[in-house]
Amino acid sequence: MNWIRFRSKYWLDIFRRRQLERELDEEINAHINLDIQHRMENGAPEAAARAAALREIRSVSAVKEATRDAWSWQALERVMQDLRYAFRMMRRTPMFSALAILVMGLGIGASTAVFSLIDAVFLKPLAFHDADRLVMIWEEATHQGVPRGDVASSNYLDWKEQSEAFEDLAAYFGNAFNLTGEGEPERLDGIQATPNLFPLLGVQPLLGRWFNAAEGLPGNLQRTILSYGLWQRRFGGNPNIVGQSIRINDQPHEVVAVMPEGFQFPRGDTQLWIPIQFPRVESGPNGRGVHFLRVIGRLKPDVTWQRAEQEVQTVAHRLSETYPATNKNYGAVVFPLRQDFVQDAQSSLWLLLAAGLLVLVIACANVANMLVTRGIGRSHEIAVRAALGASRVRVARQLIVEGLLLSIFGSIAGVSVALGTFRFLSRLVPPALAGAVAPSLDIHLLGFAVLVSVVTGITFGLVPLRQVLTFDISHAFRGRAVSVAHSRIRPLLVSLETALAIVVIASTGLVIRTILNIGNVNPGFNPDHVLTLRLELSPVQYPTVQSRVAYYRSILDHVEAMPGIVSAGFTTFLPYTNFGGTSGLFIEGPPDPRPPQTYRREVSPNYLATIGVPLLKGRWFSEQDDSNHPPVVIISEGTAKRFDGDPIGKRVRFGTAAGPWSTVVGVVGDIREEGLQLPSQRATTYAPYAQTPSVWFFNPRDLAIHVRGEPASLVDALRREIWSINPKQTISQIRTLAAIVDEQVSDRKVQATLLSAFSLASISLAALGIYGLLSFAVESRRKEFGLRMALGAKNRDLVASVVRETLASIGAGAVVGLILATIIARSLTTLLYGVTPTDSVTLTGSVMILFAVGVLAACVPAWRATRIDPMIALRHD
Amino acid sequence: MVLDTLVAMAKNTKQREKAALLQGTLDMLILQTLRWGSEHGHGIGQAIRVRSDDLLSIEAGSLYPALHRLERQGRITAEWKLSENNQRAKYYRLTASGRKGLMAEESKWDLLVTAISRVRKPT
Repeated sequence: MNWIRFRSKYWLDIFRRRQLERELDEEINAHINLDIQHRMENGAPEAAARAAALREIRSVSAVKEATRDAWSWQALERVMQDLRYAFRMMRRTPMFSALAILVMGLGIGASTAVFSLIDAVFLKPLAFHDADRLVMIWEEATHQGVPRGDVASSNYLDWKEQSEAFEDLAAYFGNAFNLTGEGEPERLDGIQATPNLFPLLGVQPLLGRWFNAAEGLPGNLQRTILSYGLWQRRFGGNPNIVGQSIRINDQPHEVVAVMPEGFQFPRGDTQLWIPIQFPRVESGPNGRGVHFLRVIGRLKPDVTWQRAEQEVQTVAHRLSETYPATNKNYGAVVFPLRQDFVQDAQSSLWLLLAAGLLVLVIACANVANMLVTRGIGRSHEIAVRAALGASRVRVARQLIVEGLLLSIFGSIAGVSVALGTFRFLSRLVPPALAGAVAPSLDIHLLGFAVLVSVVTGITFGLVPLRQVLTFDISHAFRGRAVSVAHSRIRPLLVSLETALAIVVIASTGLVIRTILNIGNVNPGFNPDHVLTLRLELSPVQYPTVQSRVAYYRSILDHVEAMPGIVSAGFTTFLPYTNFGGTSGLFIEGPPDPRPPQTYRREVSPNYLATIGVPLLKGRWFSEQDDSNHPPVVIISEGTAKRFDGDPIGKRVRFGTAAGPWSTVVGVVGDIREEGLQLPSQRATTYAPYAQTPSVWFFNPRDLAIHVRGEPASLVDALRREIWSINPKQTISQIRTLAAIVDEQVSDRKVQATLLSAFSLASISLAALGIYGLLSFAVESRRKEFGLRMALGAKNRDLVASVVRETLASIGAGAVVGLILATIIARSLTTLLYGVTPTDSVTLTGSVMILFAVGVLAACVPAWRATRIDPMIALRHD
Repeated sequence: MVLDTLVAMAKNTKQREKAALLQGTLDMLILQTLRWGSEHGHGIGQAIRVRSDDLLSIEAGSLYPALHRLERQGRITAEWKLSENNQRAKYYRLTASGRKGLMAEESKWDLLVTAISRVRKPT
């Protein structure tokens, strides 16, 4: 408070300076005049009085100068003095300062880096109007294992009509579109949304207008809004684009608007929006049985999301009673938009934040430790200053300023470290938020860094402060600076460092073991040497099964004829690229009350062999399995379990009871379709691509190519080959199958890398602390050792006694650390796979690592203790 | 003797920094003077001189810095007024905190004087 008052006064004075000068002039003049008058009253003639007055004051400018000195802000001046002194101290002990700044930099860097991530994900405002009132509404079908599911369109319409909590509800679903025309044909991720989506989000287009209410109805479909990125990239930022027609999925679409830069909904990679509306129907694809919509709502100003949720749940309950066939047990859940976007990332981000802060605390403990040591070394200096009249407060303030100075340099180092990690960290931002809110240097972040440095600076100041406030001058002068209190603080700090380091290392260990476990999971196929690409077919160019199959075959023929290629195959979706596309499977025989839902994949004959799925029984598909031959399927092992006995030769039917029967001709291994780490998986059923006249959704689009050498070298040749067949074909998502698999753990790998860095930092810091403690112990007991050696004690015993003490404080820290780690790990369960939070290997491993590092750190000082020469030690004082 | 020393130190403005004791004394003398009402700088200097029977003469180079410092510390405030001779001058006045500070300074001073006199004339 004082500080603030002083400061405001100081600034005020700067502005008032000229007035003060004027007043000073006048005041001194008045003094001279008064003096003259005074002397004249006492009888002196005017000239003599004037001369005497001027003689008396000697130099007007010296008086003014001295008076001006009194203006200077004394507190500021003292701080400047402290700062100058602190700088001098830093320069005098460069090694100490560099080490302290490095340690600080580590701590502040670690916490700031993680905070930048937290900031990006949780604190930066979403770029929508009044984003706090936006919520996502999902269907809840926990009874089917879907706690947060897509919405059927008629349910959406009823929610919209029957709830009062919202200003409006809008619905959309993700889709991909072929953009053709000038330039290479391109596959674009986009959204089909009800026209009211844009007014609901409240973001004005950069050019053009929002969709109007009529757009999206049949006959009025072909409009589009472009993202800024797409407009720049494909249309060169053409300012006259609005009103022009572009070809999407081989249909002309009128561009009605371009959204501003940075607008992204629902994901960063959404490039265009197309209107769609849903008529109210009770059956068919827009009825209540097909769940494919995402629903977003804007709450009325005074309504909480919890109340909105209750209301939608009431509506959902009513619907489940009215339409039991489709809606039985279906509820609804509401999430605020940001929470919805962040969902699963939340717990891992908090883990990282916790680890980052722990590193910071360890760093603080370490610097505090160093400062205590130095403070002990400086007792003499402090005693001298105190004896010369410096108050204890003054000395304490000096120490705090020194601590603050170190931490300011530390935070500069730390922020630069954090800045360097942004690109890496942005991979941990959930995709829904990516792009617009990547980690960046902003006011939040700087605020955090400043806060951290001030808090740590004061913390540093406080530890030696105790020493200042309790020290005894006479002790200091007698060279007995080491008070009992301080020999107690240091082992405590080391224990603290040990405990926290164990928590960080154990968490890292658990995440790394999780990654290893996931990496060791057999996905059910062999991802090596497989290149993949997505070829979405245009329904206009290939309207019939025959035309499609002819096209697929010609692509496969061309590709397989290329040098360096082993085989190639088409499928509906590669593993992990779409967690949809399931179909009920009816097995011939007594009716199954719960027919298995299996992934349905339509594949070319070579596909399964290309990605290395093993054939367990029966045969592969062949080119003969076409519409002229009886329908066949290959099932995976999981599906085979649903059959009584050998499934080969049995018949199955997809979807409804009305479909044609297909004969099972082969059994292949299961694929972990839903993610490497998920233990329960739906099984898969494969159908030949040339045989079943099925819905468009299941048509093959992903091409897998088994190559001999390096997959990347073939990409250009492949594109040329495909475009030589059809120049309008879009080619997207070119990557290796290994990369697709790797993406399953990429989040975790980034996490683990960060955590490993944190662990390394905390191990080094703990080692440093232990080393410091031990060196100090040896140093301060040099005389005692010398004496004991002179009396016949062995080197070994002395070293052992020192090491024993150190191990005791590590041990105490380890016990606390283990307890903490166990408690914290419990909240990690959702992040782990194949390892329990209290995994004994990880926990004992972390303790072992710390003990090993501790013993290493103890070596040098212990060795130094053995080199003590009793004669010198006894003389040394 | 103490006063002689003080006068000598007051004249040596170069030793200002070391003269913390002196500074406190001068402050006390100023505050003491202002206890009876507001006064301008020259008047304060004269009052101290007269009341000390010309033993203490405070130079402008010490007086004005002290006044400005006390004003900044909030122990005195100032306003511009006309003197009896129609000279516009800056008049200083004690504040409540100045009054309190004065009492503390005085008791410290009394203690010091008692201590020194005991040392000089042991009973």
